[in-house]
Amino acid sequence: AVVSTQSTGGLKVKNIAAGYWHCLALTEFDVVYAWGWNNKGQLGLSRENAMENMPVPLFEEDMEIDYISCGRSHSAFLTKDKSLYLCGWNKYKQCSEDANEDIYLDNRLKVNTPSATDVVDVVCGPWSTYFTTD
Amino acid sequence: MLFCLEKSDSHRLIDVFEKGTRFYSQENAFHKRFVELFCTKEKFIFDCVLASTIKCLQKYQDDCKEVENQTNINQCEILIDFAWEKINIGHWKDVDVFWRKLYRIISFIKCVNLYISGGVIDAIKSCDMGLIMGAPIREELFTHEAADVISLGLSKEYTNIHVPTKRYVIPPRSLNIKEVPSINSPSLQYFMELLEPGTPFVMKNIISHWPAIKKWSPEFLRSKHGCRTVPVEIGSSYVSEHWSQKLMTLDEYISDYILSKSDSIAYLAQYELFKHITRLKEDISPLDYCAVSNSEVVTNCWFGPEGTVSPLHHDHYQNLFCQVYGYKRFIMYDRADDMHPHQHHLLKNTSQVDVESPTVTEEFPDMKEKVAWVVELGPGDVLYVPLHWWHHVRSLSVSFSVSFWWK
Repeated sequence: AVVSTQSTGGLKVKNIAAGYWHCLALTEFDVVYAWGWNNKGQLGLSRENAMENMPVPLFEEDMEIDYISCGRSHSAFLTKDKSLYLCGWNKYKQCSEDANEDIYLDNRLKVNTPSATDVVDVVCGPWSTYFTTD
Repeated sequence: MLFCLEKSDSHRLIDVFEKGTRFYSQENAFHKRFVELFCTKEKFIFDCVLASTIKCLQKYQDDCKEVENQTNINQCEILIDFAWEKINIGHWKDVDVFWRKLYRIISFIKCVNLYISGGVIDAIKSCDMGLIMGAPIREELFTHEAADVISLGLSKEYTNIHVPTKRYVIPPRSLNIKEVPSINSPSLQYFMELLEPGTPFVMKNIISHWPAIKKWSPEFLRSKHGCRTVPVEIGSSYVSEHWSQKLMTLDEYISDYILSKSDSIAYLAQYELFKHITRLKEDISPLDYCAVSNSEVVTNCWFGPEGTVSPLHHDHYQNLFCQVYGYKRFIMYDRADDMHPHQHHLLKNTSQVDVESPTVTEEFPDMKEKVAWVVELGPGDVLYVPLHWWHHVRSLSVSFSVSFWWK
């Protein structure tokens, strides 16, 4: 899909990230849009959505996303308050050590960061996720 | 699920496992290509898994009991996911055949490891994925054979209960209908004469010797080949928005869509089933008539419930369509007739005309004069559909057909 500011609700895009079959766009006012394949939950949507042809906004109004990154079939979202959210393909534990299935909207988890330290950066490899804390 | 193999088949299977694994570990051209593609890490995993599989297979034969090898299976999964990625990126035409070969080899190796650790169902599923998505190295058939022998062990007893009951749908009366002539068992010479006018005809009594005519039924396929995975089309017509494909076992397909009434139509259509499930080849034999040209023959199966419809379209082949089980009705038009094909480049061979619509001659008045060649096929009938002739096909009951495409 060719995406313009019209598809992101008139908001300007300040950052984009792409997986092998999906894309994320971070817009001004810290709203994230996602489109493409959701077969592993990588769009951050529920199991019923197999895919999205056009960008759809993610998260509740009060979530301000600071940074985004995509792996092959998973996505990472870092919020302004230093929380890390991961969803999508989890076969190789890219998203969660504990879960034994792929992460969709329904079972979306906040990453358990060690003690009370906060996440300052995140980057995804094709089948992995790296993050740094304070 | 009961798994029981005769000793001779069991030995044959282990033999295939051994020969296949060794063949793949020594196939130099393949290994060279692996290196050329800069996959050092993956090749290392590949070499390790193959070596370990050979060891585990040996241990299985020596100890005569199941060998636990989850590590091997995990390594296979990694390589399968890796090959799958390459196969599903970009246009399918541009995918290097290497990735499909890798996919098939690893599916086979995974099958070996699953089998010797007691996972028979998953073992044959792995083979089938390798057969559907993968490609062979030259003419080898290790994966085909492994799957065929395992399926022998999963065979069940059955009784034929289902009888194909015809539900006839009359074509609109406004069409200019002509009946297709039928000929009883023509000689090859006579067949060539029949081809000359370039119009359709039916041949009777030329496939009555096929074991399939007596053997095949939904119950037979489900019991003897039910564990095999096949790609099924879901949706009433391939031009519809909601049309999709799904992989499922023959058991699931036959239980849910053939022997019981379902909300949606599913159709195992235009699939080279005999290239996949090679055991089924024994039940049919190639038609001598196809040999009139020297071209390659494509053999497809068409297995579906009552009510499957292929909308009016034409193919780039001559077609000898053999009806094995149940009944089908063909409505055909001359290749020279303008059938108002779709504009979209992927649907240029498909007509916009719905020949079954009661208002067809109102929407397309020229349909009043055009000759509609109509015929109903029953078990044992073979229909010749000339090259590029338009045809609309409806199943009047549960139906199984085999088509031979040639040029």
